[in-house]
Amino acid sequence: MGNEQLLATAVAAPLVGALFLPALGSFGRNGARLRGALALALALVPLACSALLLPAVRAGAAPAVVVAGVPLLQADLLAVFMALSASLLGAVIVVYSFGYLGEVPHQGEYYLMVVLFLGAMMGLVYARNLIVLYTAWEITAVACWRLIGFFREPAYVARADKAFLITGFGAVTMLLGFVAVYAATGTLDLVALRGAAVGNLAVGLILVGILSKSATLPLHSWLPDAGVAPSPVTALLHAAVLVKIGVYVFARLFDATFVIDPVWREVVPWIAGASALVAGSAALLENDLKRVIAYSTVSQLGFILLGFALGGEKAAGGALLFILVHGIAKGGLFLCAGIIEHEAHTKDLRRLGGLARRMPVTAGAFALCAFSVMGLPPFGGFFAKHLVLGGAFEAGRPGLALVFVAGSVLTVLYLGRLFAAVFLGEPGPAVAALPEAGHGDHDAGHALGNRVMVGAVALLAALSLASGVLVRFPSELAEAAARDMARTAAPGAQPTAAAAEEAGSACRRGEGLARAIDAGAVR
Amino acid sequence: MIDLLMPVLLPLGVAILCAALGLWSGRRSGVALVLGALTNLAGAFLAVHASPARLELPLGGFGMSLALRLGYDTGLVLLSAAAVLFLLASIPAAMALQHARRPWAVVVAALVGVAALNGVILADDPFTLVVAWGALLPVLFLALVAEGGEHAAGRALAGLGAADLCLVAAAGFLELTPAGEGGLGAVALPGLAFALLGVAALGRLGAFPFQGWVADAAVESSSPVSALLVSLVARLAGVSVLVTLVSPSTAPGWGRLALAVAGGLTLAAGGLRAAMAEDARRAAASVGIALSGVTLLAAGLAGPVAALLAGLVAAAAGAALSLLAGSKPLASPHAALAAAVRRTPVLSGLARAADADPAALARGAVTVAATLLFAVERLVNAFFDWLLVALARAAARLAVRGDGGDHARYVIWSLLGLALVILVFAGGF
Repeated sequence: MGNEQLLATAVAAPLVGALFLPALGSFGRNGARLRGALALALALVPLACSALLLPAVRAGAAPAVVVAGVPLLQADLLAVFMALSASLLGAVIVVYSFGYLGEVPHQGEYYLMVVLFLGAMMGLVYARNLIVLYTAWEITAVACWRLIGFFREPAYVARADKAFLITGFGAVTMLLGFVAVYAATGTLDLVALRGAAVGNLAVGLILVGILSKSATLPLHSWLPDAGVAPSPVTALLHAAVLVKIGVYVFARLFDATFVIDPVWREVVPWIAGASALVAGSAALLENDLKRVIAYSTVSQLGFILLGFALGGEKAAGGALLFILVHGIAKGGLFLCAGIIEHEAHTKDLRRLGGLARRMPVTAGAFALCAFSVMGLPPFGGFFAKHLVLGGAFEAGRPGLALVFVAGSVLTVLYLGRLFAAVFLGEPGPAVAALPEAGHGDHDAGHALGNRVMVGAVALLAALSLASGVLVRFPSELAEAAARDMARTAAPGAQPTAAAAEEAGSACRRGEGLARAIDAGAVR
Repeated sequence: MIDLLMPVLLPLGVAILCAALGLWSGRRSGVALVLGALTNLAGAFLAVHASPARLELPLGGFGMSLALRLGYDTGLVLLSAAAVLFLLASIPAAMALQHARRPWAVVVAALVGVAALNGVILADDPFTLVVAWGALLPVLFLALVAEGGEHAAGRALAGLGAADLCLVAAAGFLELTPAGEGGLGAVALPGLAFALLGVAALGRLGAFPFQGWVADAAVESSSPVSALLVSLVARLAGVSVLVTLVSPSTAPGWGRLALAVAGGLTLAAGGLRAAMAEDARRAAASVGIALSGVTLLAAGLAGPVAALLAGLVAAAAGAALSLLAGSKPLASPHAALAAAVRRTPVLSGLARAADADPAALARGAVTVAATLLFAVERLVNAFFDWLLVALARAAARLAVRGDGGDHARYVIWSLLGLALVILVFAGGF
């Protein structure tokens, strides 16, 4: 299979395969098993395809999928890095879902939406033009809407609507930004747009969309409310994939494609800093387990946005690395929260406590993932945060770096408080009512929580530690991707205005990639 | 040159072996602890006889690397003394392990901790220092939790975590200052970096205002954890940074005076707490705090050599007192003194003030600031809730020309609107 076929398969397989999943559930218990197996296989396809694409992309190839002369998809190091981190988490979350969902109804719809979501994510990551990017963006919004309101209680549906409306508002605004870009350059092809100077109006409009999706202050309020979704969904949405879409698009458009007014590099880091501090404060005072972790996500996204907004190899590379390690660790925290909620039937911190004795593996996994999010060495989060903060110092902005150090202090405090409230001390009322370990339906040996779920969080905890101890591998990839980003947007690599115009015309006429390459817009 | 790595790799290797075997009895864990301490001594011996050249270990992308060097100065003394003290303390600690809840966890934590301590001593650039220094915190936290010191673990994580992040910030400043040939000890520290490093050192020394967790750890956890990790490893890590801080070439003029003041406050707080303590373990830990105050005083008033000697004495005495006090509650040997202090209003007031844990004030200040920011967040959230409900009602009225409709309806209308925009847009495309 060639690289182009791999690229097309990574996107198309989950998008098309997802449509068959609901039908399989109607074939009884075996059908349900088959549905689970197919969902896992469809989640693994993008992971395998992206892993197979990696050597070629690292060697400098840029495989593209062109349909009827219109370039739709293209793989580069940034896209492959993002696809690998999202699909890895996606696969673990699908496995966890097997244990979490049990006999919950409407599982056909659940797996349809999860796999569709992953497929749309792949489409967005590998998008070669702004229309594909926008379409995938909206598919993720629809899937997210259905998944947040999955339990169908009116209050939950209202929260799903809230998430959809805020991100939908952002998406429409972003679309207007794309219209402005198209009006100014005459092309939607991201390769032809490389090095194009984009006006402040377009940047501002696109930024609203990005901030809404990445749940950055003041458009963050949908994310903590979305904690009513099933825990694998919250992990998928809050930790691994959905919220990373916004920051990824920031990197794709503003670091690797457009040239933007430097004032944005001044303003956006402060928005990120405010978001980190405000959300960190909220996490320190919240009493709902999943809301604390959700606020933590908002806070940590500030670090990623800071890295990309500062630009530069070190800061942007650190942000990329943090996308991976934060996804792993935060996914682990949400899945641990799922086990706790599943067993204790409450998310209220005031009713929990003393769970470390009842679920030692989950407690250990939670601690390791929390250490990574806090940024303690030798966990992966430390190296990523070090690079981002180092980038801020190098950029001559120590004041900004200190704001984020304060954000890190808050992270230590609220995650420490969370761990203490859930796992330490005397058992709370909800925990005291639980059956003793080894009794009832629970698997002996893991105390509380079934084996599949506990295994999934243990894997993520091990990966959190491994991403730090073996930081060589992800950091080299992140460095190469950051260098690639800097190279493609560097002035020397920019197509001239005339070349961009010619490339845009070529794309509009349907002459496709070859013509654009001839025009010198594609390197 | 790889010999320089041995003080880190050898105890770490034994720790990994212990963790892999797991669930050992107290006696076997004790043997493993002493063997680990001997291995650590051997590692230190190899490092002391290694070439003084700098060892750089690349970590991967972005030029990240760990830099180690052992100069023939305080580092050599500290590394050797730490290894000897750890071995000496490990023998009674091994015997006390039978009282520990999870002996093998204590052994693993102690050996990983001493490997991290050796890393701190050998660190030759800010990044390496941060990695080695920070690695100790999760180990300490997990060891305290494993041994039932949950309250102390929470306080240690909050206090030391915040102090450790000061080290991270200081490292950021230091990375902008080229170290040159002299390594980390030859950098003239900017005032802010000195202050941040100083806070980090105070945290590890268990000095004012970070003294609260030390006494809690002594009372709540087993004596091997208190002796090896809290009194010896954490304190010597603090001494290592303190010695670098007060080198004539690094400290700003006001820096040593500030350290001496912190030392005086720590000495007073530790002494008063010791005098008031009714439990022998709390009294022993408080004496250890007071000795940290002496170390800071020595650093501030007499310089690095005095700080090194005082720090070694403080670590050895603290560990010995923790082990002597044991793991079970025991009446303080100076009950009459405690009663006398309690009867004296001024002394008892000061002792209560020392017991008040000023770090709690810092936590209170953070909580107040967080409450204000949280209020801002709630306002934003309430605004969006109001706006969206208003929009939803308007959309529903538009959709059904009535007084409502289900939630899905206005979402479908929104989608149709978006699809229309896409179609128009795609036409241009």
